[in-house]
Amino acid sequence: MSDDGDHILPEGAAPGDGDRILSAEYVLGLLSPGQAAAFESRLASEPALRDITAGWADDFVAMTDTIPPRQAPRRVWRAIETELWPETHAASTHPARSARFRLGRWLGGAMVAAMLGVLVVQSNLLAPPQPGLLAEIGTAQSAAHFTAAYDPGSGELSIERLGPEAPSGRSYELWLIAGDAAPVSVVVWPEAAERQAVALPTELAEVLPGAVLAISDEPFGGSPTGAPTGAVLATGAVVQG
Amino acid sequence: MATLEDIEHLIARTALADRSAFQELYQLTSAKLFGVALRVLGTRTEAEEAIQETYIKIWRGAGRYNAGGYSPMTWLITIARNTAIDRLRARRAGGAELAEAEDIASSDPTPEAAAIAGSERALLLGCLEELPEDRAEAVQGAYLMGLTYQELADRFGVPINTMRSWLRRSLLKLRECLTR
Repeated sequence: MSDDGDHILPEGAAPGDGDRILSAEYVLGLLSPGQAAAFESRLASEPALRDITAGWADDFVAMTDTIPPRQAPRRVWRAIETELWPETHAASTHPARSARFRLGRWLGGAMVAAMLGVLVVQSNLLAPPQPGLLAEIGTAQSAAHFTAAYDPGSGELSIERLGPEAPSGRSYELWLIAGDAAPVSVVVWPEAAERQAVALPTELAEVLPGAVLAISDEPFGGSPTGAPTGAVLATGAVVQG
Repeated sequence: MATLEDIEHLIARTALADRSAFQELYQLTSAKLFGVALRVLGTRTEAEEAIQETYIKIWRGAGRYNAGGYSPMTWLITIARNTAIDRLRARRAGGAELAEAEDIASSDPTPEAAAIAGSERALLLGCLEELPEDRAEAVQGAYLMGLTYQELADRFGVPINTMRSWLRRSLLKLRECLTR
């Protein structure tokens, strides 16, 4: 069966049309698995392509606007709880936080990322001297912006603040979230610091690949409870550098 | 009434493993996503399974939300749509007959979810109307039914390469209309 992905352009196409078509075909699910995988690896390193793709996703989702919402039966939520928190689903409203990390869950997250093409854009600012793990921690909605790089040789997580300092009287706090486990505080960001290096305990370093790093807004000196209490200002997935 | 900012905030809290935020996100958005899964799959049982799988993916993938540049409802609906399409394709590959569409008009929509749906999106529907009718149907068949180029070609009775060039030209026309 021919899979004519290379000859993508219709007659009279303009520069950039190839990527416009390819990203639309990706969102529609018209690419072969091989083409989709190749496209996703480009998404990871080409912000412009990612923006075109997100634009198509926003446009195409309008085809669901006329679909009326339907109340899902209660058993659906109960099944979700049972699958995610088998040990505590009976008491679901109490956020009983398990300190255990579920290693098998990384793959699930990676699949979601691949499926959506929501791969983390590697930071050009980091340019790591050796292979390791990287995360870009930011959002479009907040100025808070950090990058992190983990060096398996030294066991240190180096974090750099690229955005503004925390507002007066507040602190940024960096959290590590692995799988379905509760967030673990990595560091309360010292006032005005631009860089921090944190020696990660082995059990945290082991769960770093595929984990998420997040910055929350906390009272000065950090969360008083040991769990995030303020707004989540920035998040980023840890990926291979 | 939930705003897109509220939904975005709940996704961010979900990335921090905040179960109550995740539950609130489910309460606000599951009716819309269930509606989409029902439309794609046609049966309540399969749609329920698809929605269960969808929210598991949302819980586990919430930390990656920002990286994709999607708006929050687009991100959620896209996960539901892709999950439902994957199931539909697996059913087709298994040679199963199209499931009989059940009467799915019996449940009530929730006002919250209805309010979340964007209002600025009439644009796409207008642009689809500018395409020849069969081309617009092909775009919708790919998105809402998960039809492949081969299946679209069979359905419209043209060779697959003709289908490809039709659809690609239509996509460029759509983009031109959407950015006009």
